[in-house]
Amino acid sequence: MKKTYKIEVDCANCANLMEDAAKKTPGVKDATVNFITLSSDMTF
Amino acid sequence: MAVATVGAMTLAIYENGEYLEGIAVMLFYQIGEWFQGYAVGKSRRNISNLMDIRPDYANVERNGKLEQIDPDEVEIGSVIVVQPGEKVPIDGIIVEGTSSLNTSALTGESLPREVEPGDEVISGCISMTGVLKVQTTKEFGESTVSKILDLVENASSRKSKSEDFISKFAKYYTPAVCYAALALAFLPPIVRMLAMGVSADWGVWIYRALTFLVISCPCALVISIPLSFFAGIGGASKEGVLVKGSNYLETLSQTKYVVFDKTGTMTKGVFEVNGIHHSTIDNAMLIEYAALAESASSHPISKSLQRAYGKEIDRSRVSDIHEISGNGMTAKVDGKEVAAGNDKLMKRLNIAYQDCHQAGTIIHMAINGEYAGHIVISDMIKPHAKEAIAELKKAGVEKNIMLTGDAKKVADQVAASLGIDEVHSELLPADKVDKVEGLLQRKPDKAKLAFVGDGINDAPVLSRADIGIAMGAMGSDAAIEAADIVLMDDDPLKISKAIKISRKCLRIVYQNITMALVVKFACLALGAVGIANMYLAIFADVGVMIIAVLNAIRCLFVKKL
Repeated sequence: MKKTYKIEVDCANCANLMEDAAKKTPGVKDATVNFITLSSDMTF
Repeated sequence: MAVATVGAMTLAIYENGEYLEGIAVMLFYQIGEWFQGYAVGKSRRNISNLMDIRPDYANVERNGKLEQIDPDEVEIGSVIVVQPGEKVPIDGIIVEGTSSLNTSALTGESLPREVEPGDEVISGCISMTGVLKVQTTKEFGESTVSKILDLVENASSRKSKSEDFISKFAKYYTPAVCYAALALAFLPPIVRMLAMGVSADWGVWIYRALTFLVISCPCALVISIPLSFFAGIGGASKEGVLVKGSNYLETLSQTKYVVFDKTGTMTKGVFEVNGIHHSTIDNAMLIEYAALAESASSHPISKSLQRAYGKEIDRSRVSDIHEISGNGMTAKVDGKEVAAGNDKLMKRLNIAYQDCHQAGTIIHMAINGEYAGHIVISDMIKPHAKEAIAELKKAGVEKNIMLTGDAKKVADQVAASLGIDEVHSELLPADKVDKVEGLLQRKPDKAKLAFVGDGINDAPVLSRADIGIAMGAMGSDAAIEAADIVLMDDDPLKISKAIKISRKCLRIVYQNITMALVVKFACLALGAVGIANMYLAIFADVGVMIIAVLNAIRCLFVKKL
């Protein structure tokens, strides 16, 4: 299942950290956090 | 930043009660952050507005009145009305009305397209002159404009090598500078105290460490690089070049070899009469006889003869039509025996014919048993094709190569007239893949190879090349799926434009990386030895970031390339 969320991030570094953390979360198959479009795609 | 501020305040209190520097740090930092947010937000909006091609409503006739409804609600097969000046909201076929369509939102092409009932229209185009009634063939979400917007929005999620590098760099860099700052704060004073016997001078070194910390923030790089690619992709889509990922933009800029498919890419893919030779009667008459003789056939060659004739075919003038497959046609036109066909037909009828030095399909004509001349029919080269090849050379492409399944003579002639470096003809589809494999092996690693085709039947080659470019994808889902870069119209000039856009974007990316790193390391060095103060530190962080962001916006301006 794929879902896209709108998120607020001010710092690109934090966006990368969020992406890594999301990838490590159990149940999440893949995650991308896009700082430029302020959106995040998750595959569960 | 928090550490730096607390540190500055503490130092101020400890040293001489002068809070000025601490306050200045906080103030300037806040201003800087605000500027950063503003600049990045403005860039995002700028780029999104560029792509604001999504139609917001659709007009439907209900109870004799025109109602504006959400385009999502329109079912396939319903008839929508598009008034002059409005965007076509959903893909469909025109059932009533004629108009001039402005396709520039999708292709960047300002030349309008004339449309009439029976023509397909795609969403995103603006109807300029007339009222159109369109029967929809897709839902709003599946229509062209929605697909393009999805593609562009997701494109920046496919990270380029540069972006990956920056992410990795930041992962190691940030802890590294933190430790370095700590070292800077504690090591020199300890060394001074223990080894050299002079005063520790904690204040000075902690100050320097804090300055060091402020300068070292990698914000400039981490924000501006993705922004550059985002701007590059946005600017390109405005020109009708859809790039499906930042990595493709990057690979495109390194392209040194371009391989073309001939039919449909360099040529129109439509047969047209190209010449009439050795005609014993008036040229126009020859065409007329040929068209009439071929009037019963639906072969593309017959169609081209009929098109060249241009007038209404009067079937009553033609009788006794015989089609000899593989050879041609014989018929009685105006009472005369007319034979139109290839050399095999002439041999069969024992009529001496004249061969043609020009490449193409030759239709020999014989009237009443006597040779009357021949008509040359060939695939027309696209108007901008020659210019396109020249532009590609100018854009830095080393070799242009053409692959085709067509005959050697035709292929060589086309290649010579366009200025193509290498031609391989009479290839089967599988041979094309082999040829590309061979080229890929022979070339140096850093020089990338792009393949340009019309998408539909070039899928294996498109995926094998470093970059697959599909042309003329207006409405073609298959092409949009198969290729890495999609050119929305079928103008070969767009290929060179795409390459120029990618090179500009990458140039700006490298400029930003170099500038950020050089300024930062210089200031770090200055900070470590104490020449730099907090103000310089803040400039080195926030100032550099703003410059990088402004530079990144330049990727948007690609119209004049």
